[in-house]
Amino acid sequence: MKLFVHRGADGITAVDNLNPDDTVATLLNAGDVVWALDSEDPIEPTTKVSELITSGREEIVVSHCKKVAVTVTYNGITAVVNVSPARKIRAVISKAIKEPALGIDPATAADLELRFPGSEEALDVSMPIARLLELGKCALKLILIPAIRHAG
Amino acid sequence: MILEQPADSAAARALREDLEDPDLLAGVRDGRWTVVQWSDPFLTVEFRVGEDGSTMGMRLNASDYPTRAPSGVPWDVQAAAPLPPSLWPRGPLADTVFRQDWSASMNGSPYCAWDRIALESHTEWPGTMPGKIWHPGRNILHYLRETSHILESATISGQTP
Repeated sequence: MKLFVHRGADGITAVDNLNPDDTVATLLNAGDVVWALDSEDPIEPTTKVSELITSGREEIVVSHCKKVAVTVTYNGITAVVNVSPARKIRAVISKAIKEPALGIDPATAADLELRFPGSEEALDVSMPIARLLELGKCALKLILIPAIRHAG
Repeated sequence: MILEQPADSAAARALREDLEDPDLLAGVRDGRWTVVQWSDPFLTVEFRVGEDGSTMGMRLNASDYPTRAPSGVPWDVQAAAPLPPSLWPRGPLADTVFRQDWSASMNGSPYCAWDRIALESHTEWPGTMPGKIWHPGRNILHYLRETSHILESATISGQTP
């Protein structure tokens, strides 16, 4: 049996040849917590690999952080969005759009993308936030910005 | 994926390797895109459009990959033919990329910095859109991600999910 594991900046790896009765704990180091991709609630380490696969949770995220504090800046205004390390960038954008302090017009929300400060590259919306964390950190700063439209 | 025997060109070898990119395969599991056929140099991909289960095919010409950007056109996967402009995606971002004026006059080429046809006629884009532009350091995942982002807020008229 196979699981796909997101683990920090290591990216995503396929862990193959797992036995159905193997537990999630076999994939963890001390202090690690594990989630199904895009989930807020952690998975019990005693959960069997076969249970994950039959419930459609074959893609998991491993992190030492229980929560990630994402400081989002939009139009010069800052708000902190707290999510599990397993949440996708898409979910962080959705939470930021609903953050009253940022005052985002929902009508313009489809244009928005998250970037690292100073970067021109949009972060991929399918990527879990854990992939962006520096080693030992459980917080990061991102900017929310309208995508450049093609014009001409 | 229906994988026809691709030619053993340098472009095909590079593309074959990049089609195994773990993040590209994660996009498949996420339902954002599916690679349905590869017959060198043409790669046919089906993208999710909006949130109602709609999809849109694109056929990408990946000759000279990755030196030159892929060149895509909206594609009717079932009929193996170009998708008529009346069935192209519509939306705040999609209207700027799948343009009923420019794209329709360019055999369906999307108007974007990661597609060969538009890129080669817009020499200012590397300076104005560095995060979107295709360059030889990109891989096919960039084309799929950017196109998918455009289509997330789009709809396709006339398509029953």
